[in-house]
Amino acid sequence: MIYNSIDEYRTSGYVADVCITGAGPAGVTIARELSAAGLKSVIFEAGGLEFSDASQEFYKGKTTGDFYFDLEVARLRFFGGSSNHWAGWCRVLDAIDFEPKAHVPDSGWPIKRSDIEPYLDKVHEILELVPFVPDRPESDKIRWVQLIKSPAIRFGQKFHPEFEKSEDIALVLNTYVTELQGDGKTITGAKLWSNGSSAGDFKARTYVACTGGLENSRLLLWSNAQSNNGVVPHADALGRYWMEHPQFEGGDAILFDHNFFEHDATGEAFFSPTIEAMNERKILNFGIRLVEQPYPGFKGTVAELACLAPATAEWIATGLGQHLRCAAQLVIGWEQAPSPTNYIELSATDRDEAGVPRINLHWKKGELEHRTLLESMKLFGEMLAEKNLGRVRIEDWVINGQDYPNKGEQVGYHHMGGTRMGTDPAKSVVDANCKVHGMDNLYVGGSSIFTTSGQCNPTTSIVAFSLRLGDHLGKVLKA
Amino acid sequence: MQKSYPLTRRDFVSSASLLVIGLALFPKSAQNPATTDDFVIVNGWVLKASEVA
Repeated sequence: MIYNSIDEYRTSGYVADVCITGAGPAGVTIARELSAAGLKSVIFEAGGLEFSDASQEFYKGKTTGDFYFDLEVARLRFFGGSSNHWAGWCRVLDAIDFEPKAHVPDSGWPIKRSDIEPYLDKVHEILELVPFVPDRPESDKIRWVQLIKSPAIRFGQKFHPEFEKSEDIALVLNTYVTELQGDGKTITGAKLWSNGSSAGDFKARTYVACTGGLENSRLLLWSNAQSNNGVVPHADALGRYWMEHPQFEGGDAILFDHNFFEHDATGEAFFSPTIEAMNERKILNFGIRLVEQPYPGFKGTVAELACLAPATAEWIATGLGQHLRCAAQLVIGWEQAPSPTNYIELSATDRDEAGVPRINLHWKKGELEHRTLLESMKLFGEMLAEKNLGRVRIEDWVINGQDYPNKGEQVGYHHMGGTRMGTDPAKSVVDANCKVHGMDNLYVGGSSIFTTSGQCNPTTSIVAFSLRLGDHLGKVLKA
Repeated sequence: MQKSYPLTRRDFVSSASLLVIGLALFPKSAQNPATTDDFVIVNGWVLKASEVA
């Protein structure tokens, strides 16, 4: 059932086993898995069915360090969450993303990719994906990889009819969980806020925080502050190890054979390093997007000249009233190293309308990130040169280690970490089953659990982890 | 207002020098390049060391 307010819900007599905060891809997926296991859940969604400026206002915050987009723009607060502006790119974290690497401090998950693989068929159903083509080595250092441009499922739209009919899922809109209450071992309740005022408490057996890659940290930090660390007893890593995917154009390529690489339907091809290359160059994972823009006739000649003499080509192209570029564009999106110095904290001065402190996000790319960018371009260029498939030109700012340019996409809007998975409570918040260390009945879903970020868009992996968590909760709560 | 891009001496020098490099790099002999692990960056271009030796 879908309820428009907490008052409507309370008159229904519905009793939930599990309380889920947030109706994005993680919350929706977990609720559906619980329903399949015969368990009843309630999802409190702070927003409504549609976008509203008033709801987004709760997401305002501040950022320091490297440039970042406004926090109320970088995510969405209504049914379906940030799937509502998802571009649809799909790929699951690589097996090598789960492994510890000597040159990446605090890397290595407590689980392996094989732990989420049993759920990938369901991921394909939910996201309406065709099967992935396996990676192919292009050299001993570079592999061709596939990212699938999916229909970009809007979880709110897709599952609205199912939720309306469901007897095991209660979606309560316009109801904001401002705080979880705990005694250092058990969550005892949740404080609600609705329609401009406090809406009392709510109690369930089990709680799952699924409010997103920024809000999960905010909710737990605030709850901890109100309960003398009664919600996350081991809080050293809470809000820390926050990660994004930097994304910049790193250069151009002239290709001698435009048909050599397999392209997707949008005319793009993707390449990542092998584990051997990552270890040898001491770099993070990356994805190079080769975007070919073939021009016919004289335009093609000018475009290729753009690689050799950019200003000359631009002069000619301007005369033609065109904006032309070198034959292929190389856009790099890459992994960010997990670091405790990238973190979310609660503002000491700014609060939202419900009185919850807003986020201050401290985020900066480090030396390892820059090395990865430069080496990714070199590795791809070396592969093209070695196979005589073309040549790569790297942007001057990349070679010279200058500041990142303030243009282009810059980041992926991928919010990861803050409640990362691990075995050491000093460096992680949740265990291998996404349960908060030291707590009996508090779990976390979504990309905030990512130990490391890998290089690919996170939504596909979020759904896989959520299916795994839903499956786990089903077994634990039915036992 | 449309921005103009006047030719500079750097453009002519870079065009000429890269044309020479290009002619040297991509003749038929370059279709079967010698096997080497060494690469260099010349004016931003990732090239085999043997190509610029």
